[in-house]
Amino acid sequence: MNELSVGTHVIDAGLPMHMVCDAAGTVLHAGPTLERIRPGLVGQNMETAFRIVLPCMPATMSNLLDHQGERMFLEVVADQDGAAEQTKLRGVCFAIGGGMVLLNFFFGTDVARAVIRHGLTARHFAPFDPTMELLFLMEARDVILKEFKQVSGRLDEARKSAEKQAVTDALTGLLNRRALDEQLQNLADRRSKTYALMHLDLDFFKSVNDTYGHAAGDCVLEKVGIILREQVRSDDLVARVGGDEFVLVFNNCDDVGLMQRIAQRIIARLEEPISFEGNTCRISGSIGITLSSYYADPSPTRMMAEADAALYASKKNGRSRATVAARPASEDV
Amino acid sequence: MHGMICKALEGYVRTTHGDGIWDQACRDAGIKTRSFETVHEYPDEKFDRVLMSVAGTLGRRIAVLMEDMGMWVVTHPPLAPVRRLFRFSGETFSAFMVSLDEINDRAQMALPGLELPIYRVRSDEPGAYVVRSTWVSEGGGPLLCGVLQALADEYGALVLLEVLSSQRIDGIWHDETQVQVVQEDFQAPSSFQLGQVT
Repeated sequence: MNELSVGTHVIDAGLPMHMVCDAAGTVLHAGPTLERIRPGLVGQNMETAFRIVLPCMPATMSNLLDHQGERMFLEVVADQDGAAEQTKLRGVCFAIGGGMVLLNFFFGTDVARAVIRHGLTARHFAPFDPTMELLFLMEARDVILKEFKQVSGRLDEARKSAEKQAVTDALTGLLNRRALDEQLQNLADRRSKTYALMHLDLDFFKSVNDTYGHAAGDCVLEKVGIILREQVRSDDLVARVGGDEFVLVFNNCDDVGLMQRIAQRIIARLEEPISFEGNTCRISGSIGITLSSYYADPSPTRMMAEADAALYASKKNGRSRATVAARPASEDV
Repeated sequence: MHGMICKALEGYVRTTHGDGIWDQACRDAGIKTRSFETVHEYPDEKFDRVLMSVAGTLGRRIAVLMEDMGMWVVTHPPLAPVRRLFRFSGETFSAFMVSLDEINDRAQMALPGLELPIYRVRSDEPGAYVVRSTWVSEGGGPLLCGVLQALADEYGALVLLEVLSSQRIDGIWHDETQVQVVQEDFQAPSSFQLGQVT
């Protein structure tokens, strides 16, 4: 069977976006959907209604026939109202005898916008056209993407709140400031407990950072974390409360002599050279010590302030040393 | 059970019956998490436990609950995008009915892993359908009734729905639902404009 003669209504149903032009390029017939996209098409010349974008050439009949069966990219040229202005179409043409050309159009990536622009419904597509499935998938994608964005937003929130609740310092694994404050408050609430508090500030740490870089500094801080943990018992606390500042809390401790010996040991260990990538880093430490038994009301704030003052004295007197806070004479403990 | 379905149950209970009922049902079911994630997969047994617990808390049968939930999915205003996805299945209520066989595949096309109940439609005379459904959980038939009732309103059709039977065989629920289209064009359908994507 070489030729098939079918009624226009069959072609309209199967190819609702086709048109037929005569040899001069005049549109003889347009499918119902194409007629909706470009009203008043019949009787106009192909060249006034469409522009061929790719391959770049005038929309003449001879050009079309040179590219029979190939996919072309076209644009609808605005009619008087300008309504059809932006619609992009794809098209393919075939000679159908008698000098006539059948040009069938279909949508490309522009389909969703074009469907809205021309108010198309399922009826405007052939029953077997998968464009409806494409539109379904595009909407489904939007629904699911929105859902993923919400989940991702919730995860971000959860992460932020988890970070806020974190109790350890990521670099050293020691307690962080927040956790220390909480623990000190616990101690203060149980007033019968005595404890000692040591405030340590590293000496010469800044020069390690400046000379060998932050990676060296981080290595030193990790090492300091290990040293401090070695010097305390399991129920004592070690916290990193600033860049190079640490606080140690010794539970059930009222022995100032013991504290001084531990402080000396810590300083001696800190002064051992630390090697990092072939360089030798040297630091030391200044320490301030105080005991809760010194005060009638050993609030965390007070203890920290007293240890801090003692630390300041160590710094002022030449660093690398420990100082015990002055015991208040007038306080009735 | 896909998180989308778990989340639908949660959304339905929270918005229709309140957060208190949902929390109570989760507590009674012994579920620690109070909120399902749509992008996760949950054990079927967990979904069933919560579903049973919700039914117990509200003092309603699971069938009644699922029908109500089906209707909620189609009519809850924030879920309008989901309602639109249903409309892609057919231009008229009858066309939708015929495409029910495909609805599970269609769901998988949109979101791989999203297992809806499997529906098989039989039609012996025009406008009369019997839908057999199989699902791991109870209520596939009533769920369909709820969805169809709400969609009939969308399409402007007048329909009669009835779950004929429901039984559990080898851990799978088999339901049979009768659908009678009394009048296809009972009222004007709500508008459905294509191409609403971002």
